[in-house]
Amino acid sequence: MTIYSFISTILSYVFTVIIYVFILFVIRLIYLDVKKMSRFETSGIEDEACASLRPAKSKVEPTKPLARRYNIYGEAVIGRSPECDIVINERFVSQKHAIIWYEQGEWYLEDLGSRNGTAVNGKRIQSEVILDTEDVVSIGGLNFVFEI
Amino acid sequence: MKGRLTSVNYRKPAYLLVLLDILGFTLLFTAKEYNLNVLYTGAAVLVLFLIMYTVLVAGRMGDKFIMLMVFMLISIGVLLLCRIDLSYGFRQIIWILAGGAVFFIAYVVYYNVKIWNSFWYLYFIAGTVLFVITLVFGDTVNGSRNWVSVKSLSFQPSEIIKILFIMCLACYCSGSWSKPVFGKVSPKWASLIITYIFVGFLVLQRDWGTILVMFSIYLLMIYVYEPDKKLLLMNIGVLAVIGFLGYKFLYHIQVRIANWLDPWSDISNRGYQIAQSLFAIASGGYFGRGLGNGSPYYIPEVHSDFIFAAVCEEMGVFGGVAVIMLFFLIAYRCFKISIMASDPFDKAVSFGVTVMFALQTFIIIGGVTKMIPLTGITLPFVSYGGTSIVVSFASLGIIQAISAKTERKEAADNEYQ
Repeated sequence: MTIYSFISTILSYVFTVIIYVFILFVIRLIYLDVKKMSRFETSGIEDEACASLRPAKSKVEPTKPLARRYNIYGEAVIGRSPECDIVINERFVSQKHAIIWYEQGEWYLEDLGSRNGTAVNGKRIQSEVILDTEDVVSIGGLNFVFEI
Repeated sequence: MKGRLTSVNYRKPAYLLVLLDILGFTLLFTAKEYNLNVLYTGAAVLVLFLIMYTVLVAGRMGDKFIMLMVFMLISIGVLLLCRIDLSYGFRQIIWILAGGAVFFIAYVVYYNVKIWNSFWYLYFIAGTVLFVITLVFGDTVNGSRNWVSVKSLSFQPSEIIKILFIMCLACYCSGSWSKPVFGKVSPKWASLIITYIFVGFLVLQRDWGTILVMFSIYLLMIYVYEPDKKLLLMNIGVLAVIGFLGYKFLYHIQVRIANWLDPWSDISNRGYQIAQSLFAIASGGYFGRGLGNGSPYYIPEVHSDFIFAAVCEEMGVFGGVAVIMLFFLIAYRCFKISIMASDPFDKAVSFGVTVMFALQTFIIIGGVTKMIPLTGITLPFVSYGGTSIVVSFASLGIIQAISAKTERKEAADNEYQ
């Protein structure tokens, strides 16, 4: 056994330790990164003022795939314009179609004078209505399930 | 105080990587009779790593961990290549330098061009042209006609085609390719036809490894994006039939399967490579025999496809597991980028690229350790291979651009609130 192979054998242990400590550091950093992100997501508005719209089966077919779920924090305007909180870029959705907001324990929905109208559980709404969980909100024919 | 602490934390793994490189290349320097080329190669790896990592962190170019882990893999790869044959290591470092440049080019181009999702036909045409070039001008190496040489520079077009194929599929998966082709064929079937055309070309080239990678990318993409599960089952059925017919009638595939089931019966001839690879892995033990103590020369193609066997021999099973873990972490980070991306095309592209890395790693490591039949493809970032390194860096640049887009959008949203 030459000196070189002796040193090399010793170093092979050193290399293993270095590589594993490196992996541990990276895992720790990734863990911190993920933790920071989840803290950011839960901060801000109180829990009860959060709701979501989940796309459901509709008569009209969206040309672009919708998100799995649209979250609403306190208040959201739904429409085609990019200024809206929930942007649905379809022909049959008006620029500013409807608004959903939270006020003292209740969720409200109001149509913003859209062309194709807004309906709740199949009934077209004329003025603001109170939403309940599992209500089907229809934006110009596109159905969403409202979930608190 | 808090900011200072985190910034130190970010540097810790980088210091370890630098330490590993210094120790490793110094050791090789003594092993290779004080050939200065070893030191130059090591210095090049270090300098490139420090430059790229600093630019990445200072320029806020998205995810910082992928580059760290990739350079760990590259360091291990270059160390072993230098140890196997200095000329391989030296050429590899030139490819890595080119890859670093391509990384930034891919990053800038992908970040700034917003209309990638409307050119599915260009990707298809470019892929087909590359295939035709390979078939007409290609050289046959080890039974596969997948090399094209321009003067003294030779490259593998199939590596580039993989990226084009992913972009083409992403157009369909993200929904931005919604118009039927020629007014009749819907994108669903058109993408299926494109897949089969590409696979057909690869069959003509006898490049089985790439067929496996491409077809698996297609299957996984439609598994994730296509609500119609019949299409997936049908494709798996077709694959099973083709696989069975291939096994029945193609000599190449019969040999592969026979070697996988029993390499020992024909050890001096067909089973030689896989048997030597298993011997090498076994002789390494837990911690390896030490850099320079093993004998990886016995394995044919040890510098490209079989580099993992050399890693296991000289750095031990722990070293091999560390390489697999690094690939796991890279895949995890890339999947996270794909999940966080807001644009559907970006999502699909990063998903496809991640799947490509993961599949390639699985197929070649599985093949080298005799878990699945062996098909020759490169281990991304570790194996010797110009096209493989450059294309891997280019796809990494795309992923980095997507991650930077997401991160900057988030930062802008926070400020707005």
